[in-house]
Amino acid sequence: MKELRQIAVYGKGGIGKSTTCSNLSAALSNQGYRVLQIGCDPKADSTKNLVGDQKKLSVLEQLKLKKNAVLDDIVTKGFANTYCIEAGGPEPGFGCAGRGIITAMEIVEKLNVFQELDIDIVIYDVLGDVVCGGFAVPLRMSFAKEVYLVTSGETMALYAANNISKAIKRFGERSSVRLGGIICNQRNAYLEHEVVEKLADKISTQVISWIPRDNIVQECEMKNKTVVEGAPDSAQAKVYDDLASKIIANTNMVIPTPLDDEGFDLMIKQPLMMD
Amino acid sequence: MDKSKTVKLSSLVSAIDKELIEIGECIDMHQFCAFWGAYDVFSYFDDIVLLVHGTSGCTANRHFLSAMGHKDFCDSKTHLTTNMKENDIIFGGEQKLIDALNETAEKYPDKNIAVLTNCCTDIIGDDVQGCIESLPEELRSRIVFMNTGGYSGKSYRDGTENAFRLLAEKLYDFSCCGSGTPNKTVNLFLRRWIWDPSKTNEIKNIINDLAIIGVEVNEIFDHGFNTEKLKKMGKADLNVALCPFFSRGFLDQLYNLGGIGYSDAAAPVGLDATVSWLKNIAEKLGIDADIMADERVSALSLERDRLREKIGEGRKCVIWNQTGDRLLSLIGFAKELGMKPIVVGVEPSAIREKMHIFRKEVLEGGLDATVYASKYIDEIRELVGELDDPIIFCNDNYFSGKKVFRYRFAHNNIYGLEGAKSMYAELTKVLDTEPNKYSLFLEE
Repeated sequence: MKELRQIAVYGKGGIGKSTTCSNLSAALSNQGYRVLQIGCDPKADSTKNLVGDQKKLSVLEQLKLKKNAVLDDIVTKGFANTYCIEAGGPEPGFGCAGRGIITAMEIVEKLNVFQELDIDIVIYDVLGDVVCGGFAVPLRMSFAKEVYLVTSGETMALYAANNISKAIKRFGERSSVRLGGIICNQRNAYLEHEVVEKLADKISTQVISWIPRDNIVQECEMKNKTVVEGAPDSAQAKVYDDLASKIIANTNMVIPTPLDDEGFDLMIKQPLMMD
Repeated sequence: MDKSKTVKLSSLVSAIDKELIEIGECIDMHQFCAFWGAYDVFSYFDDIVLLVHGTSGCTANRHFLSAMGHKDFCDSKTHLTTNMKENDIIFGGEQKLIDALNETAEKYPDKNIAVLTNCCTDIIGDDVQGCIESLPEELRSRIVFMNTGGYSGKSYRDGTENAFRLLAEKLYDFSCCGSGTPNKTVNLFLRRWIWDPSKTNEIKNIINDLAIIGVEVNEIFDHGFNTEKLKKMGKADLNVALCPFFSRGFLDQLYNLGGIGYSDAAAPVGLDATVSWLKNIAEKLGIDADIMADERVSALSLERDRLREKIGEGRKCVIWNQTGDRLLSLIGFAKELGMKPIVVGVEPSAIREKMHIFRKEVLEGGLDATVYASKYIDEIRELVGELDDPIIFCNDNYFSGKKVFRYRFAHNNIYGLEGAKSMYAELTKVLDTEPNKYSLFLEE
């Protein structure tokens, strides 16, 4: 039986997780893997650039309509034969989004999706931060074994990355979930390279990829496409392809050593001091 | 009778099975949620201590609900809970669970620990399995865990089946299966929620019934059970159950993992159903027995014929019972007495929940009845008023001046020959007694 790789991608809201995930899924799929991307965000827009205009209802929307959803109700085939699922969630201000993620993942498990679709790699694109037990579900034992943090050099994005490391450490101590590295989605922030490298060092991981800021991303997204689909010959598409290859080859998996608030504050200021 | 409100039970079951009708959510009013089902099953074991991770209310209720005891007995076993409070809900209760597990293990060194969760824990997403995995192997191997939040759609039946499966997977030693005995033996799984003296009577009666086909009982799944007795179950040739669903998950696992088959007949209510039940067991064990030649069976058959005559062929009966398996038993019982059953108060979600039983008995077995769709008691009274002297199967005193067969399953013999005999006697009494014209007080 082949080994299923399950990868969770966390990071601050708006940092570019969905963009990174969908381009990563597309690149992995182009490399011959059978990829499933699961958007774990009530907004249910993680996979929109993979599926274009053929979007289906989210798992939780289906649950509202009928008790026993089947595989076809929740899975959409996207660009390059990627499989896409959106967990979905309640309207802002209502219900419990974290519980929604737990329920959606239970349904995915119950439908035996990974086996039914003969998936090689699952990518979980998880909302903003591990704000409650629900958003930690992809870190639990039967789900992702490797986690990547998306950040830029901006303080709040780094803060979120450090915070998420705390959750990975906690789960890593009782299971085999590990941090595979940081993906820096560059915003051209002040001393971005230095500070991101410093964080990686402090939490005992690596920066696995530097994704440059490029308007081609927005151009393609306006057409509901990933860069891998919309501008396959661009330098940016090459970056995502490289990221895919590096993740496949990555064996540098660690239980992170997150900083406390004081240590984090010091770390942010350190490059300035060195300057 | 308003024909527009009637449908054949088989058509209804078939439509529900094919998901052709929209069904609202409704919990089986008599049976609660998966938490209760799992709790019931684990409570049978003296060498398992239950720890509920969650708020304390669900645990405390165990002591007071009538289903958990009877007139001379209340549930006084140790029930443990992590007793989650506001802070645990906000900040997570995982550490509290780990502390509680360590404390429980120390206090009960000879027992396994079953961890159940209630709604609060499941909603906040405490990683209970992860907490257990973080414990040392020595302790971890003593723990079984089930996620049993009540809101998640898992029913009482799910709770019992999954608990039985978990028991079989985690605690049962299948190496002893097939060691066999010289005689044909079965393990007997009683119905749930049965207490003495009904329980002792039922066990004695069923053992006597099984003796008709030359079968002995190896082990009985009863309160006070333990993992040693569980192990001894492996010596039986067959598993037999009285309830159509309670224990089913365990029987499946004993078959799949241990190779011990089980009789797929259950609910021997009435003479016909009892004979079928015995025949099925005999067939499974390769026994050639002439059940009808047994003296008790032939005597009861004559008794049944007399009652049948007294009722009158084709007399209408109205059956009102919300629990699906009992409803089916009562339809079969009415039919063997020559009555034409009309069932009321049927909750489609209860049929869907127990679909495997309805599929087997109604769609495959041909058991059928007329369903009268009704929402309020007044509609049922109206129906009863339109029928020519029907017999009403109902445990509440809603029908003054009518022949009401009131027979509580919980505290009476219902299964096997003695169960049939008791039910025939009670029904005879109903027919011979002038109905009470008052409806506020129970007749004696």
